[in-house]
Amino acid sequence: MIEGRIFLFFVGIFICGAILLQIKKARSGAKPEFRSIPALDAIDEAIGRAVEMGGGVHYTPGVGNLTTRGAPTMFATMDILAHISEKAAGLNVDFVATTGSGDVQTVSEEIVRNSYAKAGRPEAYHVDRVRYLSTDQWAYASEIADIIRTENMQANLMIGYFAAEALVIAESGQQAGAIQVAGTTNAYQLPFFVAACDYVLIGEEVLAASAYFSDDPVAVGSLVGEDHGKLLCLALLVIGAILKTFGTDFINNLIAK
Amino acid sequence: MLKNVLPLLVTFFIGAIMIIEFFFVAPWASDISGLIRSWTPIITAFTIIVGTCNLLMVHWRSVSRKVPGWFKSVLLLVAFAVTVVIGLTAGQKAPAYVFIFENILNATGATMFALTAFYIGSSGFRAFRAMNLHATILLLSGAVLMLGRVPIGEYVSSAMPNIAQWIMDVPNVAGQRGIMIAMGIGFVSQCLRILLGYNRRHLGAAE
Repeated sequence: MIEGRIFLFFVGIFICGAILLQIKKARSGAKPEFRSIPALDAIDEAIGRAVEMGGGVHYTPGVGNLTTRGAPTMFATMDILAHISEKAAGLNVDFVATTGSGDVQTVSEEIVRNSYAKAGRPEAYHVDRVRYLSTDQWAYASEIADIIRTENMQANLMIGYFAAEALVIAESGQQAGAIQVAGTTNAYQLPFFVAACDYVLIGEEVLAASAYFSDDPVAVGSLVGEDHGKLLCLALLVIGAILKTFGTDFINNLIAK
Repeated sequence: MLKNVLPLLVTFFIGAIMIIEFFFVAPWASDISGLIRSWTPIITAFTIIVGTCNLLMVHWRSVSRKVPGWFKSVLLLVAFAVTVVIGLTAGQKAPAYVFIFENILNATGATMFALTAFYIGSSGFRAFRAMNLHATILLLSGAVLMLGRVPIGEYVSSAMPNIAQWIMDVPNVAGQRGIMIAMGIGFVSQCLRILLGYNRRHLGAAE
């Protein structure tokens, strides 16, 4: 094994094992309880408000793609897109999803088309529903700002992978008076969303969305398994801090292996 | 059968190779993963074609239906056509092509980037209103941090730069690392589900 990655390998094995075990438990009928996540609850509220105001719903997963930048996040956003588009299709509200990369566009088109078919309104799906804007972050942000203002988007949902363009989009939505739910796994952009949006999903809450929106045992079980991984990390942090205080580098040396 | 199973097998095989390459000394895995990575630009190029087709269809629809703001779609279509024609006929190093990049694309990008300075001001003004305990803590720590980062802060109190640095090094780093550890575990879970074929939304299948 490569030096410096041995401990990481075994931690990975532990986390994957815990996740698979919990998936098995969830499949056999175990139903864990989740804490409520206000930002995820607010998504349905935002869509409802858009219906009441006679406006539309805009969703964007950001500038990441499915192969490199923020790939796990982008895969997770596909579940969020499915939920939002199904809801919007069911409520007959104008819905637009925008993307900033070709691979996300391809998958998003398929998901939104399925959502409209599932809602019994396949005829309401057209090419304008999912729009590819640009891989250039500023062109992407300026086009979204224009869509929010000119197409009367009363709900602006930005959940995915965002970079420096996050604040431009969020402030444009705020100035247009839209209710905004945002979330990103890019920790550097979180403060901007917190400052500019009504509700914010912080980090892993973005990844928890699929378990939150559905009773899918795989999603639910993996969320519980993740918590076991977090407990392991927490234990390592606490034990490591205590040992370091008493001058022992045992945990540091173990992690470096 | 083939449509459902083949993508899952390919995903699992490629994922397994990447994991082996990361943890083990295996030159054969490094060779295969290097080869697979070199395919990424090809796949990206094809997806950009898909995206570009959508872009053109959306704006063509906008022009043909004369929706409000349709003239912006005309501008986009013309700019797209001009850029593609110059790029294909004269090449990417042609003065006209370079002009488009340096004087239009870069300039508009820089303008949008510059707007973030104003947006930081307007969003910060709203966020820093001490309406509850959290916002008050944010306001106080933000004020100390800003004062600690400028020379005038040292005149207010010589401890200001140290307090600002402590906020950055201790509470800020603790919060950031907590978020990053949880996200890392979330990523492991997400990748595991994709590799094992539990998560198939990206293949067009419902969960």
